[in-house]
Amino acid sequence: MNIITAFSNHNDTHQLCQDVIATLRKGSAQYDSEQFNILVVYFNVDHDVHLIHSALTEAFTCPVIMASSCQGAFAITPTGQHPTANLSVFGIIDPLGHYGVGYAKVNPASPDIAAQKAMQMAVSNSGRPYDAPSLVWTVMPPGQEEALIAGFSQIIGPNVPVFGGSSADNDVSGNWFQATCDVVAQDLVLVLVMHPSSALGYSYSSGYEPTEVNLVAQNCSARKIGLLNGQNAAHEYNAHTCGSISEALTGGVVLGNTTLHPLGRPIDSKMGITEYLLSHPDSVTAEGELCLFSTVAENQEFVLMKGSIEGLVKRAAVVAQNALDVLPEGRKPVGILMIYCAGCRLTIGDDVAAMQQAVLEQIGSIPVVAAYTFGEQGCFFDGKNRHGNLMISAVAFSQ
Amino acid sequence: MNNETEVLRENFALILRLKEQAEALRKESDMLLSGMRDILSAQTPEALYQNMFDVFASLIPYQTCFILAHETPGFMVCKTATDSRFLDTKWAVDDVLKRTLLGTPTAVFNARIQPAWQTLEHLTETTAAVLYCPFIDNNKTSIIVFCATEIGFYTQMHVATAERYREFTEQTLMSVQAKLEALQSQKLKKEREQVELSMVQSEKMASLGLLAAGVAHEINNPLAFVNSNFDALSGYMPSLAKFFAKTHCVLKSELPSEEKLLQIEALFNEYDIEMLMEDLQEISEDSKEGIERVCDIVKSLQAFTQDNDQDEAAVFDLNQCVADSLRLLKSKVKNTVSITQNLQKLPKLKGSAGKVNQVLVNLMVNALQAMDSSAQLQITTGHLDAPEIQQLHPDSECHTAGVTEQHAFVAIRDNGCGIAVDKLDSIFEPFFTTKPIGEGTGLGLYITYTLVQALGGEISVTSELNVGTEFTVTFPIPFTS
Ligand SMILES: Nc1ncnc2c1ncn2[C@@H]1O[C@H](COP(=O)(O)OP(=O)(O)O)[C@@H](O)[C@H]1O
Ligand SMILES: [Mg+2]
Repeated sequence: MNIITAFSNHNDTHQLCQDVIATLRKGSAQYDSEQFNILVVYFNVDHDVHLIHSALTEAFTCPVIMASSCQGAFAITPTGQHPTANLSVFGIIDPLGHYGVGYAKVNPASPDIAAQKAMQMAVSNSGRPYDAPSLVWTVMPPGQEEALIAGFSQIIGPNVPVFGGSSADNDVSGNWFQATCDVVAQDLVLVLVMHPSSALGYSYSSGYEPTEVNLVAQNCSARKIGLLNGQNAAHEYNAHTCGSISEALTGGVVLGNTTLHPLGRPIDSKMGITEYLLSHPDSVTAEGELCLFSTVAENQEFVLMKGSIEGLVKRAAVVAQNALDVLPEGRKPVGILMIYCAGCRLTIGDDVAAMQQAVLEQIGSIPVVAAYTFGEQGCFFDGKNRHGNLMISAVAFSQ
Repeated sequence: MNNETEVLRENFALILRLKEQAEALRKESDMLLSGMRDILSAQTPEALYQNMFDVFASLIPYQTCFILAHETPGFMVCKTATDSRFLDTKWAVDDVLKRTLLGTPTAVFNARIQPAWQTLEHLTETTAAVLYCPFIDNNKTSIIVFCATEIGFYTQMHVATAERYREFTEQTLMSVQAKLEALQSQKLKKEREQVELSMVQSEKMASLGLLAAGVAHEINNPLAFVNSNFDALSGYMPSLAKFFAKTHCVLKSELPSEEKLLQIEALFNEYDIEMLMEDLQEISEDSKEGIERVCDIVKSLQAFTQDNDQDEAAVFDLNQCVADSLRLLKSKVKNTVSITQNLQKLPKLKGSAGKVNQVLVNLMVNALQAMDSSAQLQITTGHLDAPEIQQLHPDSECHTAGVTEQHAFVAIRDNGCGIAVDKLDSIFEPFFTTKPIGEGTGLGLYITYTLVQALGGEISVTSELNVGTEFTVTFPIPFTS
């Protein structure tokens, strides 16, 4: 198995694509002109999705999954890197492996049906229609990720790790895209089932630390919290976060204000280490309800988390390293596919370059592509697939 | 935020994870090793399979576990299963099974969609996820199948476990095979021993039946003349009684001594006492001989039926055995048969005389049955040294070890019909006979062969059609003698 990554930050969409296509071709030529099994593509919605789609699908015959990534996507190649390239591609060459792509339009009334359809399609396209996949990589439209994950497990069971992220635009205006060879749309769930010929390592984690503050959510509906510790949710949150959302207590977008103070759900692992699945408050309603990027159950107990720019900058390198560390001994890593929360990416701003530099220093010259997403799917040590916010994940491929 | 703490926590988590992996590995191998011990301690094939499945359960959890072996091209069949409903089910070799057979374990997330299960729908009620693991069994690839009720239960983690323990699994299965064979051959051996024992017994009974008539005759003859002797004896009794009564009267009378002597003298002559005494002497000697003959026959019969197998120290005198056997056969031997004996003095040999007698009787009966007119039976015993033995039994490996060992032999030679060359290989087989039903059982030589083996000896045969046959049995002479 070999991984070839390519990126371009050209302003001209045509040139952007040609750069990337050239790099990919050059890369695959190194390996006796082996074909790509799959291209995983992340791009900046400032560029026309249809132009990128047709350029890539004309240039390559292999399956493709594509998604928009918040303000560009991260790439490391053997010859260079960019933390927010307009187009970044992760190409897998694995003649002995099997990969299948499936997709379905998500009807908000029945997201699980879409997930099942997409999964069934991916499974039957994989050439291994009965085998349990090693891993599922997914792209989702933001909004109903938990139900989509549940839908996957209705087909292949709950034990196959699901990693990926919710597609993102640049300003949370809903301008995100998902695409495969066949379609380009804004409400697709994409599934890539992987049967790689060699081992994978993965890691899913946050860059935050728990505080002493515990908050119990009540009057919840879907992704809204009415009360925290019996008080108006917005007020209570504001009180514990040094007035981070004072300006929006009766309504407004708070995405940028809350990034360093997410709500964490403690997940106990059997090893005694508590991991935290994060929920990111994105807005406040006129009634002072707190809206999150993930579903909340009534009486959910939260721990208020705290983060720092420095922590988020250094964090990606640790997660990437963790994924490498769990590869079986003696396996040579050949590439890492990552997800980095768009909220974190916006919070660290220009430090995104330092974040990339930290990854590079940590793992050396292994090719990496990372997408900035509005929601992150992955699994912790306990093996359960989850949807969280402000998370970072990494899947390492090996030879 | 304190970054140091965060990194430390992460490192801690990683170390814990690696430690957990290492512990899991150690636990697995511990369980497997103790499982092996359990397997090898099984006493029945059923327990063996149960233990084997238990070992697999410690490796990979399952609801049902079974083994598929090759049957006809394109199909496999379930030969062993924890759930009897799977037994003897037939499996079409689909893509998944084929890949497994090519060497990679395969996890299927839902059996209900896999082609191989399509004809076994009733079994998918309790089966969703399936893990197939190949293993080499007698140079052929078979498959262990693990089934779970939950969709997607088996993951690549299980595939990796199966792969990691593949060699171990194969070894387990190999020891199961070996143990199974051992159990079966033990059982077979026991059964064979049982059959042999009863065959030896029944052949012995048959021989006894064959001999019974002759033996009765042998016993009858001396009994008859002992009887007539006693008739004669009782015939003499009245004269003897009168003689003694009259002698008594003479002795009691007042006659002078000379007169008494004269009268007794007269009585002695009158009753012919001298002749009577001679006759009595003769009768008692005769009767004694008759009784002794009966005793001998009874002893020979005892020698034939005695079973001192258990007696490690039992010894026999080969020449005595020849005499005993001949005595038992005497009545069977027609007057026209001339028997030549050429017996050399031999040391005592190890083994039960009963067995040796049975051997000799079998061989002699065969010889007698093979001859009709002008029959000549020749019995020879003597010593053989190593090279002679080598020449006699060239195929045998036994004597190469003790080249210097001395052997005793007995050869029974007849001038009967002989044995055709193509039959020569079969005569020691059980139930091989050329004789009509009622006369031959086909067991004689088979049992003879078995008995000779048990005695540590060897048997060989040379034969020429219509000229005659010679059977030679050799026994090692113990070093002590
Ligand atoms: N001395 C012999 N001469 C000729 N044939 C013999 C002799 N001994 C054995 N055989 C042949 O070997 C066969 C097997 O002998 P045996 O095992 O004693 O069984 P059975 O006497 O009941 O037939 C005989 O049927 C006969 O054909
Ligand atoms: Mg016979």
